[in-house]
Amino acid sequence: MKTTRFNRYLLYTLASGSLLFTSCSSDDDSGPKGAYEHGVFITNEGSFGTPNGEVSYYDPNTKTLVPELFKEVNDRPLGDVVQSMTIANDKAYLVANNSNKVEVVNAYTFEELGVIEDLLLPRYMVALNSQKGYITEWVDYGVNGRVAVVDLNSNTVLKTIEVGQLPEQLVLVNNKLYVANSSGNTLSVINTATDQVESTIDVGDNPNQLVVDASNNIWVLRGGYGTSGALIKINPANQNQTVFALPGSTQAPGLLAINGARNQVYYSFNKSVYRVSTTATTLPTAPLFNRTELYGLGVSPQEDLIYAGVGPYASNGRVVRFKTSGERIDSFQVRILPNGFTFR
Amino acid sequence: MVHRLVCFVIAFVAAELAGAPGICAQSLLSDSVQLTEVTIAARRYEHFSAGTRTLQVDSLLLQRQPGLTLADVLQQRTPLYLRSYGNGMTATVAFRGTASSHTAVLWNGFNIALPTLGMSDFALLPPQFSTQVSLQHGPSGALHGSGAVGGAVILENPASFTYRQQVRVQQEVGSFGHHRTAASGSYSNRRISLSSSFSRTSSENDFRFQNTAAFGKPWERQQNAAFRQTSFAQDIHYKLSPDQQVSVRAWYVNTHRQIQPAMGSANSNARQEDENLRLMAEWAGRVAGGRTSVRAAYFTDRLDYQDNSILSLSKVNTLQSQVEHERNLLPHLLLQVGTEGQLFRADVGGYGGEVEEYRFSGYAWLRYDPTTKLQLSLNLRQALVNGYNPPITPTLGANYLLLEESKSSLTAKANISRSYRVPTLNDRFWSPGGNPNLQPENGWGYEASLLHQYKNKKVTGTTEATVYALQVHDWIQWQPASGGYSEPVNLSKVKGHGAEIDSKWQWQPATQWTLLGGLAYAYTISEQKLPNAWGELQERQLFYVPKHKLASWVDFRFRDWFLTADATFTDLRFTDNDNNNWLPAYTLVNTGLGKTFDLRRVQVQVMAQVQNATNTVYQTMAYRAMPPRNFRLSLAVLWNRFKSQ
Repeated sequence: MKTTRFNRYLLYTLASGSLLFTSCSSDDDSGPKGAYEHGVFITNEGSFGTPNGEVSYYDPNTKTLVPELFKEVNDRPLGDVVQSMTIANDKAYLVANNSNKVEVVNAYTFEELGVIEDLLLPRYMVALNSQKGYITEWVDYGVNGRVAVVDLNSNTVLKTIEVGQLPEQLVLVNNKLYVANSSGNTLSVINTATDQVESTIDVGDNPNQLVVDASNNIWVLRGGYGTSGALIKINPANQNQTVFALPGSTQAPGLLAINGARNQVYYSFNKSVYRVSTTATTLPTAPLFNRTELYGLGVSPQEDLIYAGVGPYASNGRVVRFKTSGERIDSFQVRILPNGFTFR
Repeated sequence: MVHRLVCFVIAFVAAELAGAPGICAQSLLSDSVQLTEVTIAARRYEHFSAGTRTLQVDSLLLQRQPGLTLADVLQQRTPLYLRSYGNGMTATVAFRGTASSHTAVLWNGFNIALPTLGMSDFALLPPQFSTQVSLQHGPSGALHGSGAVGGAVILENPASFTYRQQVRVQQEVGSFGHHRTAASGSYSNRRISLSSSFSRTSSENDFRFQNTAAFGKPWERQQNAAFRQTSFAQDIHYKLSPDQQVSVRAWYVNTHRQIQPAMGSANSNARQEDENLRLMAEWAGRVAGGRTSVRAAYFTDRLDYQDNSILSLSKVNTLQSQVEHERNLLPHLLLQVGTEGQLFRADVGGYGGEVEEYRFSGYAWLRYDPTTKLQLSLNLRQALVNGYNPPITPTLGANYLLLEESKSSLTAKANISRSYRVPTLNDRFWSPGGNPNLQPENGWGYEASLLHQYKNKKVTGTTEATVYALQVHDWIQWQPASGGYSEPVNLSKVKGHGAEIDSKWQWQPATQWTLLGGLAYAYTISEQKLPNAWGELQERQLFYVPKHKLASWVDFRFRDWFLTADATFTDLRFTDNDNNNWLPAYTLVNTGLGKTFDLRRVQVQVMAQVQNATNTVYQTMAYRAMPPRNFRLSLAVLWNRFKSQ
């Protein structure tokens, strides 16, 4: 693996007309690891059915933007419906839902390293360690989804674990994997030692998004068309749940994020973004801000700022930045349907 | 019923031929001469379209190269940009920088756009042998109704009551498993005119291409792109009396396609079956000093889409009727008034139940020739749709003969026209998201043209140049709604302008030699205001609208040989509304060589074609691979008999 990576790197540097010693210098750990070491990666879903999903890179210090990072570095489109991005072990994993693949790139240079295939509608990924990762796969509508266990050295699927329908986000807590079955009403709990489902937790209809707070509680945002949504705090040790009901049944709750200190949970509901402390006993009634066409939400741990992705379907979306008080700071244009943020 | 009719007519014509003495093998090559005689296509609109740009598409091309689709013909012979999702896949056209849904497609007077999607897929419209195709460039709501915002494609199957019998059988094979079989027969005399045609086309469509979207950019064989299509058409025209005529037309098309995935998108084994049955009847006769026509049509369109995760079935029944009366008010003043009714009944999974929509419109068209040099037309249409009403759409146009000499003439043309487009059934009824409060789109067009015609003993030529400006208001776009779905809204305004040039020439230095050539060019600017990176509104060229498109062709005939070639240049097209990404410009070349053999009773034509002769790598829709250089070989056999009366 090491040699092939090196060969590949050699090829790129030769192709780009650089001299050999530039590649040697990149093995040297003293300098910067790449042009995209510190910043915000914005996943832009793109138009369904066309591989124009992209990752935009924003440097908050210089306020510069590379709108199409993958294409700029690799001279090809990234994929169709770029659902999420996960950084692990100096690599970035870019999940292209409607391309049935996960592209693997160098997390600092964004140069392509490989691709994970044999996936069916992949959604989100976590890495357990440098060897093993997990990817939720929808597989199809109306059937059970699964979690693919991936060998991160060979980028191949080792096995799949059947879970509930349309599994979405997944989190790791104490070496257990919690998977939100978004078309069902449970979280599947997978033991990463055996890679088997050891239990399921009933949480109500359509659990979708998950975050983990500083006390290792899991926060679940759930709700779909026609059923009332809720924000749920689960203590994974005893599976006790604290349910914060969201009003009304016509609005599906949208997005969930957590701050860097992991003590403030941010969620969107009915065109508004709210914040709740992880120790709160009730939900706030007043939103931080209102925003139509909200599509992605993130909180920068470095700056403690809220990043909101907004946009129409047919043209470029924008990222709007807010202070945690809800005060708008600025905005910049990215690509079609910015749905998520990865901060580093 | 259609099947039976077709079988009957073909059998009938064949029986006639078997015992027919003195069959004259009329040359396939001289068809162009006869077509001009028979050409009465677009006659219904022709009188009332002064000042507009209306062009006949070369019918000979379709007849001689029957494996070409209507989409191919439009790509090769017109300045229209064809948006094709792959060989044999969905293909739409747009005029003057508008969208596909802004092209009205009329079949013998009836709009055949699928009311759910509001557009026509040209891959689903295999023209029958006798189809005359003409193009109306620019808005023409008054003449062609809803959807004629950018232009209209008019398909007509005119009747001919000359004595004639004809049977034609064709077989074609080509690269990537292309097969086409076609048969047509026609019979006509002074009272009756019958024609039938059948065709079946299929292709494996498994060409090789470089997947530039995948890791390592590998060469791959195209997966999941095979298709097959069967069509039957039957026309019956009968003269009840010298003043009265009835016509019945039927057109059935069944198309089964695998849907070619985009490079870089997963192959979800998508497939689509379309079944389109179109029936119409028409009575026309002289009543009360004028000419009255009554038409009725019934269409049933079934679209069954499936992939690994989606099952989508939509069935639409459409009833349409038109009653028209045309009369001379004064010797040089012609009036036509008419009404049109449409009923759409759609059973679409996404609507959560069957929906119905009625649309009516009334129209009055006036043509006045105050002098021999000046022709004026004033047309009006008011449509009524349940729930809301589109604006009244007028057209005012004029032709003025500037110059007339023995060999050439120069005509100036100008017109102002309004257009409208009723929201599609999907726009209104899709659940969730369908927006019943949408307003119809509407637009204005302004244009001026110069038409030059030249004719001497050996050379004939026509050249037309047009400049235009165009606007579309309340352009409907889908955008994310708060509930996590999407909804259509009347969003933007689009402004465009451009120029079009069309020139066709024929040179016949000796009887055995003919050289035909032509070119069609369009310069198109079509813009909407979008925010740039700093949030400032800026004019952006609409996606998939090339600034320049040039189509050119030559056709060389010597005795019974003919050589044909066409070349088209298409400028870069942005693939997103923000103009961040584009497809590079490309040139496509097709060539063909044919020979005709006159046997004792029949005529045989052999033709070899090379499509994409320069092996150009191109896409018309982003990441949809198009076929590389490919070959076709066809054989046609024709029996023909005339009676000179």
